[in-house]
Amino acid sequence: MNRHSQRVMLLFGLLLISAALLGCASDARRSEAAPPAAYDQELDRARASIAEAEQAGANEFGSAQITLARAKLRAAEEALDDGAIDRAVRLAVEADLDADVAAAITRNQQTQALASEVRSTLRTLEDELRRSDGVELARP
Amino acid sequence: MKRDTEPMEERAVRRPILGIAGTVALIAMTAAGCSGLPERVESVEQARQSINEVAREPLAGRVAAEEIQAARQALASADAAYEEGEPLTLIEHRAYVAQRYADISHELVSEAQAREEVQRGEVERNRIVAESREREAEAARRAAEEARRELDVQARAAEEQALAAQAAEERARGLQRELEELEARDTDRGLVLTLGDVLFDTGQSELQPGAMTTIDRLAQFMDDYPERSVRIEGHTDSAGSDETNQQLSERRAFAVRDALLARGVEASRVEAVGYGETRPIASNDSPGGRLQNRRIEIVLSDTH
Repeated sequence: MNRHSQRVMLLFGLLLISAALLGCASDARRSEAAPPAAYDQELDRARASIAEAEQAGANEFGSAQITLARAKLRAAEEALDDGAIDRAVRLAVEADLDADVAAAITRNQQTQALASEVRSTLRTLEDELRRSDGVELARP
Repeated sequence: MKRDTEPMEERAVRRPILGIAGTVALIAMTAAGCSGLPERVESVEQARQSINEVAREPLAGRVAAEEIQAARQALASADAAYEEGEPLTLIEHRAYVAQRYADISHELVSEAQAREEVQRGEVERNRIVAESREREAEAARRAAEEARRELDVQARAAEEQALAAQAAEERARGLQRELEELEARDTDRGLVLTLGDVLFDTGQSELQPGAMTTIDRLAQFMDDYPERSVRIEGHTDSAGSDETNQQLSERRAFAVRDALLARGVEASRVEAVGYGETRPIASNDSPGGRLQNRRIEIVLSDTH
């Protein structure tokens, strides 16, 4: 292989690479391109979900998830300030879901607590019943 | 994960000077996906597994159908992004969405299970309370019945006692009457029944037929009062020799004894003894006194 053909190959390679890079760049631009009104909606939705989860008691039962949701919402707001709209939308969507998870955990934990209360009431009742049975048996 | 994509691009810029081999390799990589995606994206697989797990829960279809549907959609779009060689950040974002929907589904299923337990618990609680009330009523009923039975037993016992007392009284009255019929006398030796001389011919020890009524009555008395025993004592007046009188009194006592034994009275309950003329109860100087002295006395005792 001579020097000329080496050059040709090199140029061809460079061409391919730049094409790939261009493709990637355009890929990135294509992804999740939200119309201006949509991102505001996403952030608002995240804020509402966080408020709802807090209302349900998420600070007590789903504190890790609600903390994550708030952090993601802040990050989304910052990304928006930086003009990184795609990133802001992604973060807002995730914050919204994190808040929903926090709310679901909260409701579940509250119901679990109720179930545990019912269980303990049943145990007490059964114990009492057994004890009164014992007394009855002891009575000749 | 971002490290996998961005440094790759930097390296790609430096590649040309390394020559043809590097170029060829790069072409191959570019064909595989411009961002150089890994064989599998861990977060996508994790989300897939979580969705499959929660979807298998029996309650999932009822309480988390929408959430599971949303999770599957997000997972499908993550898979599509992977297939189309979209950036890893996008794929992972979609995997994150899928994962969170799976998480929510999981919480919903778990909560529904707890709610079912609460409902079952309420039913169980009501059942226990009802059962306990029923048991209390049953126990009260049993106690009342027990008390009634106890009273019955006491009443029956009292009745039996009264009957026994009545029987004892009747027995006592019967004994009294029979003794009266036998013309028994209460003496310091016990109850003494005196059978007159008329039972025997003079100087004889054969019981006369007229004696049998008295003997029968005595045998009946012995039969009615099995705890009693008798001593039959023969006595004579002073006429004749002492020895003759002694023998005569013994024979006569034994004749009465034999008559009683012949009527089924046990031998162990009947003792016979002769006293001859040694124990007169009247003077032997007059015929009336001698008549009284010729006699059989029957002494009744409680035990033998």
